Amino acid sequence: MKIKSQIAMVLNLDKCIGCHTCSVTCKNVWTSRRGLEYAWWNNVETKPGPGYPKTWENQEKYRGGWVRRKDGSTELRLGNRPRVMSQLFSNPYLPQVEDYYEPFTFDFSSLKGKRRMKTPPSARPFSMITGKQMDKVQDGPNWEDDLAGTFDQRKSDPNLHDIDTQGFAEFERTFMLYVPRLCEHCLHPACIPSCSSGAIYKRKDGVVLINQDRCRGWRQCISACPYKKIYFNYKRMKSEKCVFCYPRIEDGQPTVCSETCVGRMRYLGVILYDSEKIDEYAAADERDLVRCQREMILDPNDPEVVVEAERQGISHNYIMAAQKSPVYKLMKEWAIAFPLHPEYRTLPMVWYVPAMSPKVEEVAAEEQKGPADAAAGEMDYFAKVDEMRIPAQYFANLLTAGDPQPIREALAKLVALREYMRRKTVDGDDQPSVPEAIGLTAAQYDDMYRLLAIADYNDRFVIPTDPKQQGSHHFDERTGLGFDDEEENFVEGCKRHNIFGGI
Amino acid sequence: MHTFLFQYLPYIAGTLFICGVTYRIAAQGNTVQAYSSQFLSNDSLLKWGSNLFHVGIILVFFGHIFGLLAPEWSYDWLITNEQKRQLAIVMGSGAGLITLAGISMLTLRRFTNRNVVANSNFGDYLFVVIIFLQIVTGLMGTVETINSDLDHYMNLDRWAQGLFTFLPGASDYIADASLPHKIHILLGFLLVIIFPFTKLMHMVAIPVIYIIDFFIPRK
Repeated sequence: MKIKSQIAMVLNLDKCIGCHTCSVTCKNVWTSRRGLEYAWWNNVETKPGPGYPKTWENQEKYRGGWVRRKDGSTELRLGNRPRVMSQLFSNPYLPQVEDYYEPFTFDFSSLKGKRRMKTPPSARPFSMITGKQMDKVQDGPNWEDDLAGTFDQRKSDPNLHDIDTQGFAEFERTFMLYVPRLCEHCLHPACIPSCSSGAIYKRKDGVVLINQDRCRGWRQCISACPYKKIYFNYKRMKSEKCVFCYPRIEDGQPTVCSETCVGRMRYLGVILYDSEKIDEYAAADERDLVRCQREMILDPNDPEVVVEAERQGISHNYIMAAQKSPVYKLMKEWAIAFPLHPEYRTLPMVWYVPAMSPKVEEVAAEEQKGPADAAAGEMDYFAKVDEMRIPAQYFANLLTAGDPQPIREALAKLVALREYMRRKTVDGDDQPSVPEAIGLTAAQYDDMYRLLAIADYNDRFVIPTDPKQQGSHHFDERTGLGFDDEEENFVEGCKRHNIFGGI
Repeated sequence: MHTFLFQYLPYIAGTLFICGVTYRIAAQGNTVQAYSSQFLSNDSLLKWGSNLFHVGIILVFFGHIFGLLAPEWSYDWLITNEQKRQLAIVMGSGAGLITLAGISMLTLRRFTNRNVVANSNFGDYLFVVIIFLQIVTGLMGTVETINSDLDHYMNLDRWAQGLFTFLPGASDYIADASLPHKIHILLGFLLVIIFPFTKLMHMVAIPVIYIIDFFIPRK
């Protein structure tokens, strides 16, 4: 057993309101530079929809992630090393800027001219790629926001491949959810072996970074990442990616996206895992992938694990943090969080709690029947889950490689939690009975309620401080850390040209 | 003048090359990279052009190494000089035409693709033009070789090897060389001189270890 630690994140989709605060604050801190105008290290997309970049889940097109070979080992979908090398001259699977969107800005200075005009002035869009005026903005990082456009446009979502979409175009049957996405900081990353320069590495705390001095711009990692979370800076001609706000993490602070999440739906914490199992579990059968990934996470309260971890040099504050870790509870203890697309076999470390989507009129009908009715008999939680607006199969395609059963179980737990708290707070039942079919104790329900509903800052984020890093001030380096602009300072340049001082 | 250009300039170029490459790696090693514009436009001109150009130019490179620098004793047991000349004509024009097709597409793309144009600087334009001219003069030189005798061809070898063996008066060998050959040689030295200061440096960054490592058996 080789124990390693990882800072993992869980996103509770049930509470995401799609406000894009995470994306905007991330952009302000990390990607407000020339060459990355199109790049959103953190983005929020409305699903179902093609997403950002367009149909990023279509691995036939982009060749991201791993495939299982016949002998039971894994291989990059991009191909082996000679194959990767042969694509250095021209990578046929590389997304181009049009697959994201053409970044634009507005010429606001035209609004304050002295010239008298007959019509009100308007700010015309300008392309950040060509610098020329655009006729109109035709695309953006979340073009299908809140079900914009027709269903035919959103239907290109690869997660709908085995779902009967008949009727989803109708208002009564349509559904949507927000999926905030960032780099998954995988345990079995596909980007690292695809980098022929050896510039990508995984740190001790699990953060995957690109060494900007060693990146040679061969562009293979962009294809290899199945989540399309490595971005090509077209000015510096190097790849850049989410750094998991490592200067903040080292200081024991949450990432910017987590810190600013107004829905308080992001959880950060340490997990301990057995790194010797990575190869075996990454090559597991598709239906077993979620179970295997849960199994790989070790119980930090198990004395044996603690002793072994300390012996292997995991620092004491990491173990302490792992014992209080909110993500451990969500990922393993309650098993209500799932990895995004485990079928890519990268063992991602940003997990998602599926969102509930009860139909409003049915809930209203139940309210009329009164609480007495509900208390009379044991509820059928699974029947309630199946009534939900978002098909469990959709979540299954997103989070469990197509198996809806774990999703139904997780949603049933969330329904049961609400029912439990309803009896406790509305009906005034101090010790409500706990449904046996769900398999959680009353204490666990109370714990779940505290973490999911109250979600205090100190409960959501349990991040150990890196002892080496105390006393440094990373804020001063926020846009300069490792990324040298070869042109003039873009922020300064914007201040001169643009009244809003930014893109 | 002839002596300067073909006897002394090569050494000046070589010195600048070695010093320049050393300086670039030491001072700005992090900018030794591919500078690919594929992300801006992943079009078929690039897909075909880049592949054809690079495959062609690698063949051309090794062709020059063998053709110019291999001393006579290293191949005379296998082929005669006349056969080597014919080989140079066939292989050279073949690889040259592949490279020409590639660089033509890349030049066209560099000057017409709106995303690429907007993100190119003067150096990028100059660069494709120099390479284009270099390949055209190279092919014209091959035509000259077809139309002249063996001695004319062998003189090029004697000159190049003379330079490497520090032979005084090596430039006399190509005093009668054709104009395309001379332009080709001079453009070649220009490329050698500017090499350390341009994106040509990406050749230094070829991921050799990545591929060698793959063929080393494990366990």
